[in-house]
Amino acid sequence: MVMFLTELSSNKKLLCEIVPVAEADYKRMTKKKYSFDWKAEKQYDVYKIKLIGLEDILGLISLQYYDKEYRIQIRLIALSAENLGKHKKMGRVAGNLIAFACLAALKRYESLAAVSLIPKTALIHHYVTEYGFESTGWQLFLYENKLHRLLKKYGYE
Amino acid sequence: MSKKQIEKLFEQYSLEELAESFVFPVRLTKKQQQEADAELNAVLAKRRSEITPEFKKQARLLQLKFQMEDYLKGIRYDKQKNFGFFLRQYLQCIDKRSSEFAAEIDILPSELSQYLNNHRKPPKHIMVRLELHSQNTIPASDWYRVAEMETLHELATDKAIRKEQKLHVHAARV
Repeated sequence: MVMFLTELSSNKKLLCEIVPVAEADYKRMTKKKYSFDWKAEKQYDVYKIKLIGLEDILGLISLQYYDKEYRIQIRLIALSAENLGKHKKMGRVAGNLIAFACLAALKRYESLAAVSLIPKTALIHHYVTEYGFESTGWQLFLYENKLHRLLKKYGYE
Repeated sequence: MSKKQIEKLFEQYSLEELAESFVFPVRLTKKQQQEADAELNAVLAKRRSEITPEFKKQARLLQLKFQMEDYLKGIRYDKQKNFGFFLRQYLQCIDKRSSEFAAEIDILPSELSQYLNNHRKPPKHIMVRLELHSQNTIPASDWYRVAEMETLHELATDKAIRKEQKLHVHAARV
């Protein structure tokens, strides 16, 4: 399993990891740098993505488990301020976070695993083309081959 | 994040850039949420009823691979999770009887039984056969590391061997 980000200035592949957010992290997970009030997500499963050996948090994801429905819902994702827009430093950050949600679902629900999110309408097209999400109307989901394709693309399979 | 702040982000960045950086919170009314969940569950139920046995097997195999990787990443040694334990799980994943599987990797059922019951350490070529049998889903290196976990634990905790070997060390580093 080799997960990496792309440093856009050098095109270098840098190894990364996704780990649970620690209590002490919440102090530096400010709204200014990570857009949302992450303390409000404490009741859910919040993970951070970082380069191996470094402490800087490059992005965050909040997940909610729906065990009876064999799915994980992505509640929130936000990349750090320096990884937004045209001048972002790293590529593949959000993709790695979404693939991580797929991995968590597969570990838990095996062949029934699904990942869902409720999108802003204007962003649906991009989630579908970039990550392979399928739409049910209100929600987008990844299941079966689409879920596995994303796992493969981000180095999990 | 307030509606105003989200609108500001939509002015600042393109849609593509936003989708590459965010999943925003979307607040639905109770009725909308119920409708959304019912819609999704109906689609998923239909899709789940159509999955093939092959896909099921592959998903189970991947689950085992990730279970092994998590175990290998962990700090704690677990006596239960030895080579035989994971090999037994593998057989369950692929839905094979021992005798059938032994034939498929060209060993005798008695040899397989020794691996399953952890009565014999698997040689490297068996691990390679397991990798090939899983069509590279579980690499030989993962099987090797699982087997090595036991050796490492033995090495770290075996008091008897230390007592025995002390007799052969005539001077200790000062």
